[in-house]
Amino acid sequence: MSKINLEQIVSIVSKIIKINEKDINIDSKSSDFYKWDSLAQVNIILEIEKISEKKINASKMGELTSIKSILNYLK
Amino acid sequence: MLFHSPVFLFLFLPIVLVLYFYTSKYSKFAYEYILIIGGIFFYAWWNIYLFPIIIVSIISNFFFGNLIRNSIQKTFKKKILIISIFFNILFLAIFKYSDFVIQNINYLFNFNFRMLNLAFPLAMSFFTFQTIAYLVDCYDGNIKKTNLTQYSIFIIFFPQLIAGPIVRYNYMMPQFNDEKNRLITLQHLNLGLIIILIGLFKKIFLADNLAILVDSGFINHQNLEFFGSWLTSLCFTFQIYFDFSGYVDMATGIALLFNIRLPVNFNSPYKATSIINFWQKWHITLANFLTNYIYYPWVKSLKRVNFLSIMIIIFLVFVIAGIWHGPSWLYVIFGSLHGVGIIINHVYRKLFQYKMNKYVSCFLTFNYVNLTFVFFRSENLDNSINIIKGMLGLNGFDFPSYSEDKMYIILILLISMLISFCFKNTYYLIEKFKTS
Repeated sequence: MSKINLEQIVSIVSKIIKINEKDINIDSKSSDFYKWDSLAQVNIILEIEKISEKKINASKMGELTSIKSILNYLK
Repeated sequence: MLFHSPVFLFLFLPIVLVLYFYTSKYSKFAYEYILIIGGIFFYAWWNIYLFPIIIVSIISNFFFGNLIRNSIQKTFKKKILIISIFFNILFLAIFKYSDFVIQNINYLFNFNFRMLNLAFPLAMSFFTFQTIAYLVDCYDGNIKKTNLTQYSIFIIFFPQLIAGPIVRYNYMMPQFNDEKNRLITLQHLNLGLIIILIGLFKKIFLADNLAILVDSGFINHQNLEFFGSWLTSLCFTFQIYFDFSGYVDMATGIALLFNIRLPVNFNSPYKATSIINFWQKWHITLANFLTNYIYYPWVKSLKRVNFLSIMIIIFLVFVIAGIWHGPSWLYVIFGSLHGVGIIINHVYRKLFQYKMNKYVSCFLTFNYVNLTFVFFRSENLDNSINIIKGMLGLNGFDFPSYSEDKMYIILILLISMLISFCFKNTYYLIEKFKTS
């Protein structure tokens, strides 16, 4: 079981792409925010790895571009 | 055999299509052999002596993939992955870059080594990347089950064999394995034919006409003044887009006739508002490959990740993207300029919260891309520099005489601009169809 929940994922994404947490929800995806680019993606994944203590394969990083996909992957 | 050639459109495609659906009625697996034989025939049509190369590649990489998937020991698995990727790149390098390397060695050290003049196997750049993606997916455990016929279809499926899009195994195989996709779907046939026609229009009406002015402009680059230089560079920027996206549209339409949906490769790239955004819209499957299989693993392999190290990696990934397009320093310059463009974008985003006006950023992005395409098309650096000098007005402001008999191409350029900046794209049409 992962040590990370929806609120934490939203908080990480919000901090990295500098968007208010209220504007991010479970349906949010990278294409909704111009600042959620490949650089932000790296920072999001590294932060999630740190908090969840789960290693994410590099080949999976490109697929985890929405809140839902990250949450599902960490389940 | 190109998609817009009569032999393909009126002979090869109808025969394969009829056989694909007809044999599927009687056998569960016949479609696999139809697609493989069709793919081999399509590939061998171009050069019968070089088609064994793709066969060797398929068999050896299938073997490597199996070895990787079945290995229990992680270090052995990793070794096989590295060896197999190395062999694929070496294979590509020998055919595509050996003369380029010899030429540079001769120049640097004053040697006189003879060129190998090897024929370049069709589509090798594309199927090499697709193969590497497959091997990495095998390593990561993303591919659970496969066999030689399935893997062969994945590589040799002729609609996307020679010019992409670069596809992933897990994206394609569920579609091939879905029995429903072996029944004729009238909606897909209609949509497929419409998309093929759009692709033909882009390729034959727009790109091929623009090419006339581009070719003459790049030949006469020494005489090009302000208007001529801009016309030449703009015509090429739209020629390459409509040529490539037209071809991909045809591939998408042809695949749809077989009820196979290819991933989107161009999504109105000239409406991009930054270079980062441009690569989210231009040759998307190549950009995804570079991101997923080079950029992310490279960044993750670092002990300490910081902004500078990521920027250096981005730059190097774009140098690789440049050289992937062909054995020339001009492609390296093209890739490097895009790398620099992306770095500037990231630095701007890091330092400034202010988001530029959409139309201003689109204008700036388009012009930067237009400039980079001068290097992409030029025969040599002098050629590029002359055209850029002309664009800056350093060669005068007379209207070029050669284009007077080609005024209709200027009209085609205006139509191209209108389509690129104001119209929705083929991807939108497919999505609209999906939801209807």
